[in-house]
Amino acid sequence: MSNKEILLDIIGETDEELIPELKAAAPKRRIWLLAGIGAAAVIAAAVVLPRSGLFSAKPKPDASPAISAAEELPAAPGDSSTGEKSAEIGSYMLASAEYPLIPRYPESESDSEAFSNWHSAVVELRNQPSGYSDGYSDFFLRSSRAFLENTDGNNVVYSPLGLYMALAMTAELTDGTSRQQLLDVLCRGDMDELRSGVRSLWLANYMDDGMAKCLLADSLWLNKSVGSACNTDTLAFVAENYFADTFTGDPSAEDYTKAFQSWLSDRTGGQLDDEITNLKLDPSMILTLASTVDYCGQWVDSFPPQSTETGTFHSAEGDIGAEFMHDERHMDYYWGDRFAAVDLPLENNGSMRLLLPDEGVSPEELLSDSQAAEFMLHTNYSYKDRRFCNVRLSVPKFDVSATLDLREGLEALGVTDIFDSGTADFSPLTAVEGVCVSTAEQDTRVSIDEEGCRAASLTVIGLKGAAAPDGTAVFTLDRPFLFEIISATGQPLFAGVVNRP
Amino acid sequence: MEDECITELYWKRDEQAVAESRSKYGAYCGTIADNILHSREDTEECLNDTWERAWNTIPPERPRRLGVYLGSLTRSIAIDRWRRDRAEKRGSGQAELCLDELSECIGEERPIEDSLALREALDSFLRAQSKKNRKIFLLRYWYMLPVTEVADRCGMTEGAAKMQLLRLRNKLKEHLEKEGVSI
Repeated sequence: MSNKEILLDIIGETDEELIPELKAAAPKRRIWLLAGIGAAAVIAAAVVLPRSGLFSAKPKPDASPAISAAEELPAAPGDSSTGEKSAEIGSYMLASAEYPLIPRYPESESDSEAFSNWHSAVVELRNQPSGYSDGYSDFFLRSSRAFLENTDGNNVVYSPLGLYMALAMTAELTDGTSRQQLLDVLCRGDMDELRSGVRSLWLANYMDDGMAKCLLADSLWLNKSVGSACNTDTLAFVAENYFADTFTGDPSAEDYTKAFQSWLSDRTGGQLDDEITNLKLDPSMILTLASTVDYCGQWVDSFPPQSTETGTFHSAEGDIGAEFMHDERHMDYYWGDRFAAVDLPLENNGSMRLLLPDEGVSPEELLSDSQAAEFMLHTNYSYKDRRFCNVRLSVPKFDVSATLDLREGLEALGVTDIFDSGTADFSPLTAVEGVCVSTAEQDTRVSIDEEGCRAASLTVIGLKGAAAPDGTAVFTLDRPFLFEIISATGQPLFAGVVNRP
Repeated sequence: MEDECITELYWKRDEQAVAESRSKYGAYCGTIADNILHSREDTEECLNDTWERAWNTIPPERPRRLGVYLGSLTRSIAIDRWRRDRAEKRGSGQAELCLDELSECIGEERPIEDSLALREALDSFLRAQSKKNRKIFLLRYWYMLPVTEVADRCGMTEGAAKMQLLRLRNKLKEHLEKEGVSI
């Protein structure tokens, strides 16, 4: 080796303290101050009485003893960590769920003890038994086809995780064929498998450390006047095992509905307030179940706001204007026979996957595409058709929301008995016959913009001249596309089709 | 994720460390590799080698500046690759240009045997420079950025940057001679 080459090598060994930054690092902002991506979902299902009314019904002789829920339902230990309950809600609360405690993400980079505590808590939550999400993956594939395939040119979005939690709770309240249909759609062999799987899913995906946010919450809303007909053991079991707050009140009273809406609003960060206004407790209900997912994340690599400009989006109904965020960066670029895709990481909180169907292929068609399914479920870079390269990104800002009446989709998936008072079996909940699910609805909203952590802008600026033009992949989401938000543990939290950003 | 947290993941043998490194420093390291190799395919392979080497060296290493550490791995891997392929790639990328420029600083009459002395001499040279001069020198010969980009980043014209780099090379030559490293 020549001396000049030795010198070149020795320069590479320069004390790292002397090496200049390629750009100035800026302090990170916390997502609580500004969310780059927000998503929320709420699902509510009401279990109602038969038309004949509760008081004319006779309990089954072998039914479990019924106790007044309002008086005797045992309180779950601890208090909610999500904040002080308003007096209005508190007056209806029987028990509050105990959420896992996650130490706040360390403020100081050098606080290794704080980091160690935070890291241990997160690892403990995420370290769930192997295969715990197997049933969930199958459920996601099947349910995404059921709920996202018929868009009719509209934006559609849903939360498979929120739906999974609500259906699992419903399974606890049912028996016989009603329960078996739910187990089948949830892809679990029996209730023990379902319970352990759901608990693991809940814990693995829960995050509330001041830096990343993925708040899962469940609640049970009882009709006080019929509480004596409910099996409190079942309700207490659900409350404890599904981290559910429990309330009781008169569903015909305006204040009880307000408390219900307030809880939903609180658990979805106010993102769905317009939709929540329309959610009211059914006066004829025995019980309403609610399950929410509140998610926030910042892009690891932000989109420079000055690069955002209006462009044309080719929707199925014709061209429309949309605000496109532009950036160019080194990243993994994925492809299949009928799509191209990217995976945009979010600070410590999973990522958003964007799938662009090839020309002539609709997003709905991709839902049945095995390669797309493999991409949407892959973890740890296991998807093979990818290349780390320079990618020129053009992503429309969007804020999509949808209200899904779940009944049709669930019936298509084989869940039919719980909707029919003649076949529904809610015997673990109540001895009253003819009880069925009257409404099952999910409201979901997902929005994205340019924001992300500033540490990532370092990466973006560093791209100047990084790749030759012929090595640049162009990824322009200017026609209907599919998206998915996955959690840090790789489970799909939200999925949707954007037809009109 | 903060650098210390990523480093901690390496120490805990959590493979997420690689994913986080890749997300945060993929573009940064890609820039370094591409400056040297000027080839998309080679840059990709070089980056994959970087993550592998980081996984194999942390621990025992605990970098004070993770980005620079990863960048130095990339630089070293890229230079090795460039040397291996230089017959085919001569004339492309910045490595050849940097090498030509550095030949002005050091003679070839006698091979350098004491690389430790050279390292110490270089270190004392860099520490003696103003912050701006040190930045110009390292942007060019550590990052191997094109002179135009060095100029952009230092707020000067390309001509001024070239002139300053020439002065710095002359100063380095004098320093190495004074330290008895160069012939």
